[in-house]
Amino acid sequence: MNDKPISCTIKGAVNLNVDVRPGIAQNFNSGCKIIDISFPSIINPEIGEIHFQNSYVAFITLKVKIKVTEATPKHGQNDQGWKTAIHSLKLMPDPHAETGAQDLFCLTRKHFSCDLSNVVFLRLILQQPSPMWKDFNVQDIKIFRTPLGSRAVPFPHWITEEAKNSTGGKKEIEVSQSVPKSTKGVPDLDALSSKLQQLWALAEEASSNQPEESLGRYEVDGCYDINLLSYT
Amino acid sequence: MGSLEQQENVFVNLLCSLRPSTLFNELLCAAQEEVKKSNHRISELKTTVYSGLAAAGWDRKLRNVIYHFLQAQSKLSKQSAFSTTGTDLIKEPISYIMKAQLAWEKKILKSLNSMCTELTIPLARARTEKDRKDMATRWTELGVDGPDLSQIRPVYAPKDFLDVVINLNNPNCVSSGNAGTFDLPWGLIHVSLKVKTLNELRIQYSDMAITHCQTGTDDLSDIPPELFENDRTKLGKKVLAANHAPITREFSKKGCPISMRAELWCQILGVELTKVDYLYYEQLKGYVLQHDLLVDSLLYKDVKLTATNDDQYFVFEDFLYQVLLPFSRDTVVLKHFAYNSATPPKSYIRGKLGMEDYAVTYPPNGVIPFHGFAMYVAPLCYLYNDIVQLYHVFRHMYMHYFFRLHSVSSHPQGIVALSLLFETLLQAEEPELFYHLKQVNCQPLKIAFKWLMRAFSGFLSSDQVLLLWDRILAFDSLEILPVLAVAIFSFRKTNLLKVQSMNTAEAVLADLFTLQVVPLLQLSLFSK
Repeated sequence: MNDKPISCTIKGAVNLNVDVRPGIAQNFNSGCKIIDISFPSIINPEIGEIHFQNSYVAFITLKVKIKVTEATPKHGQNDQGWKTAIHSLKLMPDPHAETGAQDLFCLTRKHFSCDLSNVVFLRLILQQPSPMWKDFNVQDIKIFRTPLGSRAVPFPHWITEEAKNSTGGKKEIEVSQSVPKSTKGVPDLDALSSKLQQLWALAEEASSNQPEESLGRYEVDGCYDINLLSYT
Repeated sequence: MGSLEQQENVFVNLLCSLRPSTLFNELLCAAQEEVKKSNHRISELKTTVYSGLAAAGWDRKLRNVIYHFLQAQSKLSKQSAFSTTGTDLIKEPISYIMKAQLAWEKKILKSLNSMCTELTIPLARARTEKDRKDMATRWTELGVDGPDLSQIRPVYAPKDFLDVVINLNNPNCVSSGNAGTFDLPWGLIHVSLKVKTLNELRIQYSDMAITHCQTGTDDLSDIPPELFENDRTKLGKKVLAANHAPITREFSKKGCPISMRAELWCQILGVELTKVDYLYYEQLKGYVLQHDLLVDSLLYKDVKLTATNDDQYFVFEDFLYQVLLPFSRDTVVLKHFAYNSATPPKSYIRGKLGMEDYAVTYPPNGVIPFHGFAMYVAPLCYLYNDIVQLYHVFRHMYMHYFFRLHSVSSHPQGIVALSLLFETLLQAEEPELFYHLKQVNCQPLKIAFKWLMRAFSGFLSSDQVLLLWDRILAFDSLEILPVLAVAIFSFRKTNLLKVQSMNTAEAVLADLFTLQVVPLLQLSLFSK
């Protein structure tokens, strides 16, 4: 598991304009921005997951530039290895409304239409068709090699406990039989330890079966004398 | 629907929550009994135990528990499949709305603190032994001899909260009406949230269509019972016997018959009292006797100002204290702050300021009552005789619905979205009326906000409030409140169009006690 994000250089978002003549382009909001991401310190990493916080972006497109080797199939003469990994993914269900506008998002392999290995360059294309918002962007972009999201919650142990118990029990017996030792004046260690183990197992079971109902106590050491509320 | 992975997660969560429940133990015991009973072969043991449990009604209990679990889960998880869930984001994903809520909370805290310093009373203190005994003996008649309330004033009223909601403004939003980018909104709410259109509401509330007979209108005494009432009662009995929450919900969409309402609501909310619940209430009562809180005085004051003054509810005054005072001590209520944008106020035990070990929430349930809070309980007093049942139904109602009516949030069921829904619906349905009211400087929301915030309790006659709350529970949505508010405006349209000032508009809408909720709702939803 690699928890550290891949180091990369993220350029500021660039507004796309239709007309480049000075004076005309200044106030024009095309509703489209791009962010370029390069990897100066790592050679052609593999990308498993991209995290970011949205800030009023309605749709996101992800383009990747893959290192072109002789083995990679080329599509046409001018193919420089650009691929579209994600095409216009909807981040805000309604571009005019706040829903999703500031959510944290996590793009994983499930969303990528192609494999992101040997990546040279990433380009995020942000789109916001609604004129309601002054600005839009994505923040806190973090790129991970292995997907963090695949932490599938394991089944609770008591569901599979039948199987475990039967094998675990046998082992303990074998161990205790293989070390025949006797010390004078001390009770039989094996018997003692097996009893202790049983006790321990009982305690474990009791603690795992504890109901989550709280007792509903709100005071500290029986005291609930309060003068004023705290602002922090 | 969610992906396979998500479904698996939900399943594991469900198992984990079932394991420590009492139902799990009961099921285990029942299964053991079943094994003892049956004389079947070992190979068939599993199937016979299953069928035995199902025959004894255990599968229905399990189904209900799972249904309520899934309902609770939906509050805790995001809709979108690939946005990650942080605890803060579940509370409130939009930062400026969260900031507004925090600022509002701070204002409440300051006003509580200043009340304490002015009156030189602490927020909480232990009662003396004598006080305790005295209070215990008059527990069922707490209204007779309450504390001195002359100095106490409600912390805030709907009007103050409306100011907060109106002043919400997205710093990233192009100031409205600028450069003709979009039409200047007529209303007071400037938050862009997605609210349903009339058509979407029609579909949602299709069970209330005029073609469907409704309890509360089509079973009145002047209509022959053969037409509707007899069949309805028969069906109702069947539903009650089935005791399955989704079925009960479906049935209640056309209203609950008066005689069955109490039980139907319990089934929908999953309130099934055990001895433990009675014990728990006794414990809460013990806590009330133990400590004297400033919040008690606030609740007392509120009851005196609202319910005691109301000819429909004054008889329930003592009931209200018996629900509200233990409610303020109930730490189970704290759980709803996981999905509420509000945060419970914090304090420290006297003399231990700043020491985390001595940090406590105040009040113990984290809810500071406002002017009118008691009215969330009052209509329920008509339904439940048993104080413990009344208490639990109220707590469920609060933790499911009512908390949304007094916290700033971008949730589609929150008060901001409901206010916006009211304004957009009114503008769409009654543009002439809205425009006129706006011209005479009398914004409709200024009148309707208190209705929404109190879920109409105290503004309509009590039987009508219950018919309205039937729909909140059955459709699991508060959106019916703004729909009714719009309906009332449409209904009084002729008079409102003659109004020239705020005072006269308020006078036109002051008395709503003669209104029939269901026909009004049908009128505004389906007649155009």
